[in-house]
Amino acid sequence: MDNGADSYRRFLDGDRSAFAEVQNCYFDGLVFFIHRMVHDLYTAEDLAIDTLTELIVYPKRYNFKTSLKTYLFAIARHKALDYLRHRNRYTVTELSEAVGREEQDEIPEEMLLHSERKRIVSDAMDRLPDDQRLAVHLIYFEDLSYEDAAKVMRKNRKQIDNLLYHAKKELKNLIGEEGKSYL
Amino acid sequence: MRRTKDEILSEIFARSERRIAKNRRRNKTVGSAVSLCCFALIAGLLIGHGIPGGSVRTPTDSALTTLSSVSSPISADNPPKTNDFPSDFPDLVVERIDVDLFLSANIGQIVYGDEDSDPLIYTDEGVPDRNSNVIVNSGKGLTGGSLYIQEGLIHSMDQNADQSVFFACAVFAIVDSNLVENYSYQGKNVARWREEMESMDADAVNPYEMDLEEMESRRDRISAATAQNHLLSAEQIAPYYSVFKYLMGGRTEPFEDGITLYDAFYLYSNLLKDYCVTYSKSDIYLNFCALIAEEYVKADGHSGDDGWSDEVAKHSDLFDKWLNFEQSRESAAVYEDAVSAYRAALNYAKEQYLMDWLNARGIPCSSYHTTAKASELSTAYPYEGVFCIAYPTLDQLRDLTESPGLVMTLYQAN
Repeated sequence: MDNGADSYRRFLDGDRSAFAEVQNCYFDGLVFFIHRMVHDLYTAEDLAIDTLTELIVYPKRYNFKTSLKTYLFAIARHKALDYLRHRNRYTVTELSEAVGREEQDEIPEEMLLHSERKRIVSDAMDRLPDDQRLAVHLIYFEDLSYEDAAKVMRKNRKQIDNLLYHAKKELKNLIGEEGKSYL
Repeated sequence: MRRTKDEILSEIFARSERRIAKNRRRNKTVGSAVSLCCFALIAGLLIGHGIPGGSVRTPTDSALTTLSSVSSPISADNPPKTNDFPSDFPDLVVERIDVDLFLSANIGQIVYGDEDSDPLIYTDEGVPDRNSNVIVNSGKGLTGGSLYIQEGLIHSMDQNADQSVFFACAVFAIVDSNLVENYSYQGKNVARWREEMESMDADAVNPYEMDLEEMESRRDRISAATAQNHLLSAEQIAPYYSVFKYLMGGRTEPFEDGITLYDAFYLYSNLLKDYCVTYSKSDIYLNFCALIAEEYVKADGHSGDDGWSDEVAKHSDLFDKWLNFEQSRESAAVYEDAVSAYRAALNYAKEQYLMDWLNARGIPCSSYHTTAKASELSTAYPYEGVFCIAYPTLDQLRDLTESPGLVMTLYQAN
């Protein structure tokens, strides 16, 4: 069981303060992950809050037999997809507001990308197809196993393999010869 | 300015409290009870009539017992079977189905137990989560998708294109009490309906040019042919037609795979036509895939999705078609991708329509649709989906379940 799951167990046992530990364990990673999909920091943060809210609203859903991280990222992905569908159909954003947000959207990556290597790869990832980008993110940025990434993305192991294969190939093209050592 | 950690934590707790309160209010409404009871009735009707061409498998007696218990109010003599039943919701006790059902019209690849299943729904033992009252696996084969009702909400976990019509049938069966009341098995009506559909093909109109009047006309003709009126009215259809027209005007350039909105719409229309006329999945797949392949190769598109080839290969007819279509492996790969991309588009469009239909009637509905291309093709919102949803009746659902090789199975999940 990971630390977050331990904290969540204590929260369910009545230690309300333990939820802050759960938040510390996963919140930033969730924001970063969701940001990959929605490309808006505030929305990503909002959806990450919604994701953690699930743990409180539906305390019996998580069974402690799988990784809490995997469980949360699966929920986060659902929420991001739902958001994208609704946004595509209904949302109108003022240009000025969108510009302002873009400038601040760098924050989560600043928080989480500790090395130049990851930053270069991360920038290139934004140009990958959605599924490839998410697979790379989960494996290389969240350090999930292939199996856990497959659960989050509702795919099988072979599909994750394929996505990563194509993603790496594309990233090599995007990053260029000098960047190949990063992959 | 971004929120601090403390602010975020406060927000999490505040939202949780609001949602818990909202769930309590919702659970006390009659809507969910009506939906669940209707489902129980449908399931009872299906089982009560037997499923010709198929068989009822494990375990018949207990399955019927389960259905019986569903419709029985909880009382001192009939206590809830789950230990964690919320004691502070006395109203809910009466309304709640306290057992999990798993009704499957599937050839063999049952959703539950799949290691890829959504952790929100299934336990590690492969049975539906305790909070999922009912799961209808409405797929007819392949990997199957499912509909489940969880805490008064209808959820979908649609993973197949081909099963969405069944899925729609199931939802309509649940939410449309009129459909339940009018249920009767009259094969001749189905046949007449089919004839009507076929005759309509002769004067099929360009879907782009079809207006509300034409749609209303079609609805009336079909209603007259079937002597049933289970179709949506033009008024009900209007919002979706407007959406489609809007999208048509707003999105004309191809998607990144070279798929145009018209491609998706045209294919979708044909898929539905074939589906409704033939009731045969294999035919649909053949037509579906042949059309996809032809259109897609013309467009010279290529996507990066995968995972479809194994499913395709399971259908020998389709596989033959696939091989005959083009001998080179490169083309086969393009074909695979095309199937995958279109499948996603169709799947998504149908599900979105269904979701809106439910939401418009005040039935809370959320989706766990996970198709890879869904977000990319989200604006492919074929209006023809209305007909997909509107046509199936329980008679047709029954007809579908009579397909050779199909086994209707009712599982008692716990």
